Amino acid sequence: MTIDPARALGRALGIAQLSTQIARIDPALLAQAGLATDVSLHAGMLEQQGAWDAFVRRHAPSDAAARALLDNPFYRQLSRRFSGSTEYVALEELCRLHESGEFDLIVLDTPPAAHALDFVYAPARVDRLLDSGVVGLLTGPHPRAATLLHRLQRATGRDALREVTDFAAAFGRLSAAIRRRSAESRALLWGEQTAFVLVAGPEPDVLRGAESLRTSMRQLGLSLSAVVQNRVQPHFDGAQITDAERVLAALSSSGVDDSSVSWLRQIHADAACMARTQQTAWKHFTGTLPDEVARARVPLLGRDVNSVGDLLALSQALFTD
Amino acid sequence: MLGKGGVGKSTVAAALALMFAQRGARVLGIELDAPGGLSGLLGVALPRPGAIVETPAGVSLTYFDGADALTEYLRRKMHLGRLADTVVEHPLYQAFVQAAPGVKELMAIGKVRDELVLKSHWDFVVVDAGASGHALEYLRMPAATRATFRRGRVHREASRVHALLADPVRTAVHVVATPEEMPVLEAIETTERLRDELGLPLGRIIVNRHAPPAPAAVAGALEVLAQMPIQDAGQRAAREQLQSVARQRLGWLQIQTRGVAELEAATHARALLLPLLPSARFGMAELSALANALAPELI
Repeated sequence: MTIDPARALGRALGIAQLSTQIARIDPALLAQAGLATDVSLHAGMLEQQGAWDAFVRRHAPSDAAARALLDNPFYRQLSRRFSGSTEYVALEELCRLHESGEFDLIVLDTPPAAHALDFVYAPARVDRLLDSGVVGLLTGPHPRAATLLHRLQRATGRDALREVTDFAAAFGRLSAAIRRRSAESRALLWGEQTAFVLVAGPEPDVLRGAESLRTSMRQLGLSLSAVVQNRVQPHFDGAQITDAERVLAALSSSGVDDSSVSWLRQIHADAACMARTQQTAWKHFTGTLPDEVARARVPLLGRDVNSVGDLLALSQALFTD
Repeated sequence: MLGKGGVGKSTVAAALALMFAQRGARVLGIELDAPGGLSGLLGVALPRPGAIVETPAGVSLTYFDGADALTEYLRRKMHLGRLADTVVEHPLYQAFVQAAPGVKELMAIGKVRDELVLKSHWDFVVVDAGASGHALEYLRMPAATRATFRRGRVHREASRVHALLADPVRTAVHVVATPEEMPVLEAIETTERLRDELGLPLGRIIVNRHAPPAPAAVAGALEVLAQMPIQDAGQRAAREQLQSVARQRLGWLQIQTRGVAELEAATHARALLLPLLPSARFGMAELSALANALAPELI
């Protein structure tokens, strides 16, 4: 499951558009890559709109309560256009997949580093919102709220504010279901059956970003199971560089044009430099990791990932290191 | 400046700000999402939200945090008097700010307008808006808010921010990609959404880490390399390594050629190419090189 629209991944798996409808990868594609055709591999994506509506229908205490939310203009804007609401339903979807028992393993591809943990924070945020009494404040008579609501009304217009309070009332009827869900999703995220794998690009600045993600995870008490440095330039040692110099000198004296020789020299030096930088950054990054965290470096594939075969090549690189 | 995570958009944003500063302009770099990139590249610590710091490169720098901006807005604009303190310190408010979708993004982008329009001190403001998915949220929030709240102050202010973003004279949204398939696809998708869904003025499509082409005769040279008699085992291994590096680079060049062509065809625009700069430590010299590559295209 991916939270990001991953078109290239979808195409590699032979699925035009990953969606909430989880699709099985065509066994013929698996066979082409040399896998057994009874391998059962599925893929899908969490879509904001569909997932929210489904959530409301599933958890509303009655059809009327569901309609009250689904028809509310503020809800429609919120679920379609506003950012940050995807994470709540991402978790809902994850819990449902897990409960269905249909899969032995669920791999969830989170958003990039800066927002990777948003869905982990989501249950706590919703709980805090429900605990705070904002729903009651917006819907019930509340002496201290009168002034504030009056100000808000001037700022937003009366209709819009009524839509918001109607929304709050309808949302409030879902609060028992939401609380139950967030307790279940916490149990899942922090449970023993869940493993977190941190994948980073090879460059030092990317690994620095991964470092702060790791710190956040530690603070949250999430257990990191593995770290991966992806698209790594293979390393050269000093002797290899000297040998390459000799080979290039020989090539130059066998009548090859200078521009080709200096191009080869340049790209070889570039690669050596990148390899060194990446290795130093990796050593620094893994230096403070506890022993039980698995680590893997996946070499640069040198082409785009376009097929199940390419994914298989990555998978082999991942597990042979 | 926006683009897929890892394509170097903070680097390009820093180079753009540096380019303006080197030509005597008053430039403010603004970090919005996942801060630390611009400030790190320009050699200063991340300022606290809203504070402006000077960098050695002559670029001023700040960081806007949505939650902070909302608090400031409530205090200054909502005329709540002492009630404002009660509101912002209330756990309910804190919970609302963390949970309410889009509020932080709206307030942060609104503050960009305040900085640019109300202060009118800057010749250029360069905003590092983060990875495209989330950066688009910043750009979309003013229009979404305007549609949700159809009158009142929130409507008016969201409209003003949207008007600035949609004004091709004052705003250019640059999209950064590397010439690989996935970043290219994402850049095309971002460009389409900017144009069709958000109606915002597209700046340049910037292709970062663009490798120089291989010399025409390189295929022949690789042929000679393969045939060359080599006795020494170490040198034979070195030859294999050279061949593998060459294969890799030629593969990259092929992907790059296709990627740039696809980008240009889909966006009907010529891409701005920035050179691949392999170095042990990306520093001011590299940033300057990128600024010099941007200058002839953007001035």
